[in-house]
Amino acid sequence: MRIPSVFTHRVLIGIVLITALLFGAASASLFPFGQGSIPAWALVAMTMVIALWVSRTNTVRNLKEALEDAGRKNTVLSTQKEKKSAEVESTRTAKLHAEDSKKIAELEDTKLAVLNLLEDIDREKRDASDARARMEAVISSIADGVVVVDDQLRIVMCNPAAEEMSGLAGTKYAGESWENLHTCENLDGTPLPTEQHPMQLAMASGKPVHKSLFLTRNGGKLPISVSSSPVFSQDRASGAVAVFRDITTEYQLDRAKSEFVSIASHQLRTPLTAINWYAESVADGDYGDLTKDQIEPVQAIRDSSKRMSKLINALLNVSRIETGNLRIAPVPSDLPEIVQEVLSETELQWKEKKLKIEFTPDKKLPQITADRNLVKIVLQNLLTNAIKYTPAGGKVTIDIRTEGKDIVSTVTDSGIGIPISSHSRIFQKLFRAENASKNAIDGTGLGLYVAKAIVEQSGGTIGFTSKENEGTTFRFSLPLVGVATKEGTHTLISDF
Amino acid sequence: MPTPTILIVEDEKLIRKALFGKLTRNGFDVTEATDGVQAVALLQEKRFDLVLLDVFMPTMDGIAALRTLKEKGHKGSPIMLMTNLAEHDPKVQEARELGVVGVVIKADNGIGKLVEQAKEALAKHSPDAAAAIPK
Repeated sequence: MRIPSVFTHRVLIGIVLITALLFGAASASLFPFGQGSIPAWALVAMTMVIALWVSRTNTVRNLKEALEDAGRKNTVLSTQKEKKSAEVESTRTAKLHAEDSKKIAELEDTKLAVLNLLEDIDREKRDASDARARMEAVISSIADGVVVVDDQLRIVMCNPAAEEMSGLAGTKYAGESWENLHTCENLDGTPLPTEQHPMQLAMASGKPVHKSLFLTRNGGKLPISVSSSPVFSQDRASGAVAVFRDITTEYQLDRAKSEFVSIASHQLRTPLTAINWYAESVADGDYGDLTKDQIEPVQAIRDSSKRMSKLINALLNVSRIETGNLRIAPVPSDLPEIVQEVLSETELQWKEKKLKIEFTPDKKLPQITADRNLVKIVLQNLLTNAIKYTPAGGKVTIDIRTEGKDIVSTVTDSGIGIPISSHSRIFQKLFRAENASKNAIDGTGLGLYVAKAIVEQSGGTIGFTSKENEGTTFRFSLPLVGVATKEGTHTLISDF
Repeated sequence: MPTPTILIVEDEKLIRKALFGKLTRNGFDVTEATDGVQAVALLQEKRFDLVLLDVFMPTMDGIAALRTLKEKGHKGSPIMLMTNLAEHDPKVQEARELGVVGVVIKADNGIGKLVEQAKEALAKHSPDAAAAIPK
């Protein structure tokens, strides 16, 4: 056991002093002063000196010890400090280590997440690739042509059927403009302007467009039926997709049907001419005077044969329109003059019904370059309809004026009108409104079909407004710049 | 005053007969032919005051007959095309180029109107003969 040096020092001095006192006391009793012995005070003093010496000797030793102790303590402290520093360092290192570990763990997590993400992306990519491959396989397998274009009509995608039909197979067409690779024609043989192409129309209107047309390829023409829809991107039509089908068979059948009608009509016209002529000759008394009883039946033969002649002519006109052989030969034409001609030709009918005819032509109206024969057929159809469907005493008004880039003709009557249920079908071939048939009014259902075809092939538009039992207004426009020439083998028959 | 002569070239018997009767009753001296071959032979042989020529006929059609007549020549008979083809039909156009003096449409006009057109053509191209037609 180690005794602290200060404590030892003080204890030693104490012991010496006590010893000196006890020794002095003892000496005084043993050696009294008067008897020549060592006096007590000397003993005490000696003791005290000894004690002091001891004490001093102890102090030095103690100091040394203290110094040694301090040194030791210092060493201990240094050791402790070092230990402490080491501990602090250790703690800091541990802390850093812990933070690093945490970060590493986080990085590991992030890495895992990134790897998972990459895996997901890879899977999505594979799935997308598979889906795309499936879609491409499906589109490639479709027997109909599929073409996707951008908003500049540049080809983005074209399936093998489309390549085959359009003659693009084996060529580099990607990115090429569809209109640079093909020209399209209407089935009647007129050129189809780019802005009228179904894909362009679908993009412009934002709605699906269906149309039959000729696709030119390698110098030949392929009849196709096209359904085109806009492709939207961010609320904007960024392109279009067109699905088209080869309609050669249907087209040939339709053509054969029209040709049959044409031939049959021609063949029918010859015997009909004979019936007409003989009935006329009989009525004229070429074969002897008729009795009163004979006049009416002979007239019935003449009327019926005329009616049949009109029907055949109308069928011939339809077949000529549908076979695309209609020829348009524009010449400078005066529309009011044509109206006057038609009014003159139909004078018997409208006078018989006591109809009021209003027509005040504008003397400043320009002439228009159009096929006079065809325009006359349109006006004949509209005017004879107005006369036929207007009850006796009614009114028919004709108006011709320029409107913007068009010359617009309107024929308004106070007739029986067209029921709303018939509005959508009024221009259809052979369609007749119910009230027209009910009123036993003679008609073929072909006049408006023919009129519409003529106007549209002349670059114009035709439409109507009507209210049943109040009247109808038909309106058609032709371009003031003139009607384009169209080559063809036939014109239409004007027969009124 | 000689009776005006007219040649009807028409393969359809009923049409031909109807015309024959009507024209005869109107003062014409009518000759009939049933195809282009007969017509060419007759027209190379003599001049008629007027000819009514159908288009569609067997053996030789009206257009082929016109070509032959133009090529081989004839006695200068004025020829009118008589057809059911439309005015702007290419065959009608070709007939005009081959020198027909007019076109009459069979079906669209009555027989009386056709005879009137024939008289008008006669007056224009054979005025002397036309003068013999009773009014």
